[in-house]
Parts: sequence; structure tokens; C-alpha cells
Amino acid sequence: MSTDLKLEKVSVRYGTFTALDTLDLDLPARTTLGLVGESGSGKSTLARTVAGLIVPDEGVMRLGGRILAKRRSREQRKQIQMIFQNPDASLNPRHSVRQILSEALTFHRMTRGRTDTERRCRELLERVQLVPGSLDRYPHEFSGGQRQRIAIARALSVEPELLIADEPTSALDVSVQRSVLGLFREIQAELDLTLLFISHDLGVIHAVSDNVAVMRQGSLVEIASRERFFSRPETAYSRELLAAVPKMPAAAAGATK
Amino acid sequence: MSEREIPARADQAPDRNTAAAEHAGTAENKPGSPENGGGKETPTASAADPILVVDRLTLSVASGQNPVQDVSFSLGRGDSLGIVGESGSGKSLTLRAVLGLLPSGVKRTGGEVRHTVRSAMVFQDPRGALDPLCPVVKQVAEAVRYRQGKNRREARAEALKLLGLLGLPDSLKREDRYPNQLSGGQCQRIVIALALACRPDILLCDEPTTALDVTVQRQIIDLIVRLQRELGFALVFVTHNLAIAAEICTRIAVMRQGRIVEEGAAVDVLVRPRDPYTQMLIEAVLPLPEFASESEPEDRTRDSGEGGTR
Repeated sequence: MSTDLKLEKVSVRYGTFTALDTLDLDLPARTTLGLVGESGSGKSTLARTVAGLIVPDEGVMRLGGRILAKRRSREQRKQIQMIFQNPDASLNPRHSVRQILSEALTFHRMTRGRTDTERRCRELLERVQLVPGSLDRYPHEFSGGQRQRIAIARALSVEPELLIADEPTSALDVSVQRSVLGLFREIQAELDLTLLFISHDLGVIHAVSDNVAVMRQGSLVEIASRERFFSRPETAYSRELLAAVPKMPAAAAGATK
Repeated sequence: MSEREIPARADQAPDRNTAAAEHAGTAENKPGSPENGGGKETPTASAADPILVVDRLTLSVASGQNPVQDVSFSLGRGDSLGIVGESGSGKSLTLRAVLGLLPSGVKRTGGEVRHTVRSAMVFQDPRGALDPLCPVVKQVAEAVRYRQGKNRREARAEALKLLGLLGLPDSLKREDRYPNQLSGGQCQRIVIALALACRPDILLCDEPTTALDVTVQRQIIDLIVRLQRELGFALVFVTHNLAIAAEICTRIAVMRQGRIVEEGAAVDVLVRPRDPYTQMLIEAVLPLPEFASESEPEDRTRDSGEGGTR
């Protein structure tokens, strides 16, 4: 149930600043594209443009062959779901987890009746490894990692075809980051999603992606398969990014393998 | 003592912090802590003549919990210690206790911090540590003027010298800029300049690279390593990334839930971790395969200094 995404000559300008510069992108169905780049390179603008939060000044976007226009149908909005960096800001603090999850379900008419919604909510919580008792609790009662799991559950609730994750683990502790990344890999394997995964952390990108795209100043400078990118990066900029990652000293790295 | 518990406004932080730190240093002569006296274990020290001793430090909050418990370490002149742990492990509070700048509600209830030298701090969020309404050269000059007792003209010259040392653009000499006109990396350099304006013997860094991009992070790491070599200050570097700590520091202390679970030479801790938590942190540094087209990446770690990425 997953569809490919195509971007043709998409441009976004903020005033005089060009955030996306006639960008072409092809994201095949059921693959994960890891998007890296420094802050200000346009990663998040790209994500928000695809999600429909920003209207591009030029260019065409297609999801599964159908054009993503400025005004999108409910169906198209459902197809693309997004997970944000900061789960605190993306969950309504006055809604319980039950309300957060069932709102999406009822809006997109995913379930019939209250018992069905209830059942689906429990299913979703189980999917993201939270206890069913969490339904009546509020976001502040959860840790950062658990909140991100709730956000993931909400995004998955409407069975999207394309999932956009914008730095979903950057605000999390390293151990929590690991478990959330594990969850992403499970979801990918299970649901056959097309996933656009944005991060500035190359270690994270390496852990989840099939393909890697590097952005700089609103353009894609390199797009390659994961193995190729990490072993033989083509552009000097990619090499610079890779060289900048802090590494364990050689002795320690050898010992921990 | 109450003024030390009020967190200074971040925009004036480095300046005030050292004032507070020195205040703390003098206050140490009459420690009011109960756990003082015989029978205490000597902190695991590497240096013969430590300039900073944290001895069984315990911090408490009103609810009775201890965010930091029995933390001991010492630092010799020119040493570098990395404190690694996840959020809530008490690493930042430990650093603030060294500075004598505990947030309100947190009190020292045991142990002591002894130091006789100046310390200065570099904060995680560079924009938050700078005064948004004051041009940056002016901010640095102000810190120089008060900390080093110079007149305005000398202070400005000294400030510009510091900024040059930190690799900030020369255009600042002609035209001062506000923090929002600088990039995050440049702001962090200004914050480091502010800290160095205090001529610290100990530089305390609280996750100074966490908010930065990888390439900028690399530059700041190289910068701190170079400055330490040139200026010879001791360094306490707090981070959650074990790889960064390993690159910068010779010794590493791993903190968890307010306690130091493991401490030792950086390589020992990484190669032979004794605590499962350390092992977990090591594994959390996600591995990247080596890429072929450049020479050994390992030689970038400590000795390359300012190489490569500029």
C-alpha cells in the first residue's frame, strides 16, 4: 500500500531567500530515503513542502502518479503523514492519548464506531510498544521517547503511504534514540512504507536508510545507495560531512566490534 | 550564599559565572557541609597537585531526591576530563556546582568543591548565552574590561585579539554585529571568547557542540583542543556523546542517575568498559563504515587540530 514520490523542479522561496532550488527527487515505493544536510540546507522545507504545509512557488509533486496540488483532498492528506523533531510541540497537552489517536482515526473515517476506535487505539499502542493503560494519560506523563512513540502511533493510525520523519530522534537521549530507531526499522519491515527520513546525524541515517541524499543550499548534491554513499562518497561535500562525524578512537572501535 | 542559587541571566553568564565561581572558591574556607573530616576516601586523582577537587558532592532538591550523589573527581593543571551521561544523569548540575551556580531549588547537602583558580563556562545554546541586544565585540570587550581590569580601548583590542584566535571573520573589526547576524557556530565561538576573556584555569563546557551541525561541531571540537594546547587550561567537557568525549579528553567519567559509575583514562573506559551502562553508551555511537577515498580517518582525532574541514 505504498506509493512512490516524484518531485520535478520544485522551488520554494522565502522572500528573496531560495530554500529549495529547482529540486528533482525520485523516491521509489517501499524504500527509505535518508536526507542529510546542515541546518539551513532546506531539509525541513522539503519535508514540509511534500507534506503540504508549504506551497511551492514552482514545480510539480506527484504521489503515486497523482499530482499533489495546493489544495489536497482528504485522501491525499491522509496518504502523507509526518513526524516532527519535538514531540512536546506536536502533541496537544490537553488531550489524552486516547483523544490524540482517535481524533486522527475518526477524522479520516478509519474506524466504525467507538468500540472499533478503541480497539484500533490499543492496537496502535501495542505497535509502538506502549502499555494499553497509557490511553487515559496525557503527554506530560510520558518521557520524551514515549511521546515520540505516541506521535509515531498517530502518524501510523491512518495507514499512510508516505511517512516523513523530520529529525525524529534528535531530541532524544542516545539509548532512547536506539530504541526509537529500532521501532522505525520494525515498522518499515512490517508496513512496507515509503519513508523520507531527515536527520543531520549520519549514524542515524546509516541505521535506517536504503538510499542517502545530501542537501546543500536548497539543492541535492548527491543521491546514492547507502553502501555506495558511506564507502565511496562522490562529492567533496559528502566527504567533508562524513569526516566531521566524531569517531571512537581506533583502539576502542576495534575492541567493541 | 543565596545569590549563588539564583541563576544568572544567561546573556551575562560567562562574566557573572566566574564571579560566582571565585566567590565559591573563597567560601570553601569555611565549609558548612556535614560530611567533612576523617575517613573519607580520596578522590580518584591522576594529578599530583589538583587545581579542582570535587569531593563526595551531593546535591538535593526539595522533594528529597539527590540528582547528584557522592560524586568525586579531581583535575590537575592542563587535564581534560569528559563527563558523559544521558539527560538527568546529573552531569550539568555537577558542572554548575563547580561554578557555584546551582539553579534555585537545588542545594548542596554533602561533600565539597575545592578550587583556588578561575573557571569559566561555555554553554550548550550559544544564542541563549549571548545578549541579543548587544553587539558581540562589545560583549567580549565588556567581559575583558571587567575580568582583566583594562580600560575600554585596551579591552577592545584584547577582545579583537581573542576573536582572531577563535577564527572569527576580520570584518568584525570594522563592523560589530549582533548575535542574530551570526551563525550558530560563530555564536559559539563568541561564547568561548567570553569564557576565555576571564583567563580561566578551568574551562567548563556544557554540551557546547550539541546544538550545532556536524561540520561546525567538528570545527568547535578542533578549536577547543587547539586552545587547550595553546593556553593550557584544564577542561571539563560534559557531553552525551562518548565519541566526542574520547576525542577531546584524556580521562572520562560516566555518570548515571547522579553517580559516577565508571571513571578512568579515555582509552581504558572505551576498550574495557566495566559497567554495562558504559557499554551501552559505546554502542549508542552509531557505527559508520570507513570510507575509502581519504586517508586514515583516525589521524583526525586528537593531533590533527585545525586540519581538514575548514
